[in-house]
Amino acid sequence: MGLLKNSDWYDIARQTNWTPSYVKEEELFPREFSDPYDIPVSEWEKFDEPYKVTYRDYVQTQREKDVGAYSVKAALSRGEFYDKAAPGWKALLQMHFGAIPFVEYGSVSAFARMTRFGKGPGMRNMANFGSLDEVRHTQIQMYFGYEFVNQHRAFDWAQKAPNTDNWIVISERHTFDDVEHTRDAVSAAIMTNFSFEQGFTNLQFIALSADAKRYGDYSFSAMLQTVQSDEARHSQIGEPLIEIMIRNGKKAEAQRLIDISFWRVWKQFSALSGICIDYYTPLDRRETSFKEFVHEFVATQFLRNLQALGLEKPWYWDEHFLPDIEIFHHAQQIGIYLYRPTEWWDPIAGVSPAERDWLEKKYPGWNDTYGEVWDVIAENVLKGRHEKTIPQPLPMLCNMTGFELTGVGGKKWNVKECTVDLDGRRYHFGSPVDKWIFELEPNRYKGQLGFIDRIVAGMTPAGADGVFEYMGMSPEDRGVCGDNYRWADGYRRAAE
Amino acid sequence: MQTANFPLVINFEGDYGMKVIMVNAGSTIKEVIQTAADQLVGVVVKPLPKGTVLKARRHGSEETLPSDLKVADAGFVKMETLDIVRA
Repeated sequence: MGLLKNSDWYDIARQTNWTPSYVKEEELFPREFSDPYDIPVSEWEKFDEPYKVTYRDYVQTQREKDVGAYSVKAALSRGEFYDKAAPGWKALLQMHFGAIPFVEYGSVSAFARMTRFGKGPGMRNMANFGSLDEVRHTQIQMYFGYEFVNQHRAFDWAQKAPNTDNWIVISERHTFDDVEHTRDAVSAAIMTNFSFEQGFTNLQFIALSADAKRYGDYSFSAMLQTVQSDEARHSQIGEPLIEIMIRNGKKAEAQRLIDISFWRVWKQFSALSGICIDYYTPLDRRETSFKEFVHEFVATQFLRNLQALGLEKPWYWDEHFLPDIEIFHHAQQIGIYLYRPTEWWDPIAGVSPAERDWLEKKYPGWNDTYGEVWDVIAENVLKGRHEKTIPQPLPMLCNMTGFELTGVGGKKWNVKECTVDLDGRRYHFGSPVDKWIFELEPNRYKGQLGFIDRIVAGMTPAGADGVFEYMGMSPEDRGVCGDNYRWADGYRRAAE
Repeated sequence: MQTANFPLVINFEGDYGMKVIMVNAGSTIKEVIQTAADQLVGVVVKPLPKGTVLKARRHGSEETLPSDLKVADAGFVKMETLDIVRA
């Protein structure tokens, strides 16, 4: 007996809505979990997923993908590769495997909530596969990362990170809890699938994968590619949702969800992917700058998708987002390097004379701004004053992003913040966009204590090691200069 | 000696980002400036030319704070942000 073609039965098989008789519909789909926009179920039932996947096909495809990625890993001697890798690439791997797996694992439950509370059968079907995808992403990234656990303590953070109050982990949690985990199924899906996944995962998984391949890290490249192949499918949940919202008079609400989540996720990718691409990737294998990747994947492709749906670019696009592409990650890189004992990885400076030439070429004016700060740090390294390469004062962190409050240093000094005074507390924000997000829903955000707030409030144990103890960082866990200050040798030679 | 327990956010000219320093409520603005300079110049800010005079002002304000003004008398909230700039 011949099998029916998928297209002959798929649409009927996934029509799993029914009229509840044991409970009321509002009990089955509580408004605050399912749809606060009060769009009729009949509209949600029109959700038409661009990728129609059956479970049978899904399993077969995923198995083939896993075989491909794990085979590449099995064929290559990764331990030897890691030993020989440049300090920047080691830093990149250490950071990636600590920062990413727990966000992937969180996404399992985000998709599960869409599966449970989404009112559109097609959406639920897609989201169910999304949960399975994210289980796979967690497993593969922990598995690939754990290969190195005997070689460097940082890889233990693939498992450990979410159980700590490390300041970077707090920053990630604040963002992704907001975008993925604390909203109704529709809002979370638009924010996660459209803004986060369609907007930005290309940067981490395609841009970085290309760099990995050029560097010869074929296992990491294959792992990133196999993850992104799933992201490309399940990120498509967002578009039909936006179309339904626009058709039902909720364009402004959809636009606002995009505007909030785009900025929140941008700051995470700018800080973490930005420094990986522009500072950690070895110079001789670096072709495209972070700025160029962002302009291609985000400012062009994502904007085109957004406008094709009938939405506008976020209100802050020209005034804040485009300039931020040139600024934010450079300033963050300085802080990440200076405050390295607070990180689980061993960051590198990435500012040897040759690297500075590249940065100046890609970001004209870099030498007069960030370069001037690095001059001071380099001078301390050259004079053997290593203790002065770790500032005594704490960095001030933004109450929205959780990252340092930064701007442009050096000759063109321009560091500004915005504040909100509420209930006897001053909140500090790194940009008007962060402040705007806070003021949209103060009750959602107020009261959360950022890492510095916790120190000032006396929540960290006393003593020089109290802050590290609070972050779960024994002395062995703390980052050191990844190349043992060799980055400054070029300055020494130039001075001789 | 008083314990430095009043947090101020310092935005020092030339630095790439803001810092938190703890000061005494009884400290003067001049002492706050000196504390910030001691901790940041030669660390993230290049050494200042000899004779450079530094001034403090509330973040975003053009009005310079008097050097002898005490933190306790300035009406600062905790984590008040001060710009420290060359005069």
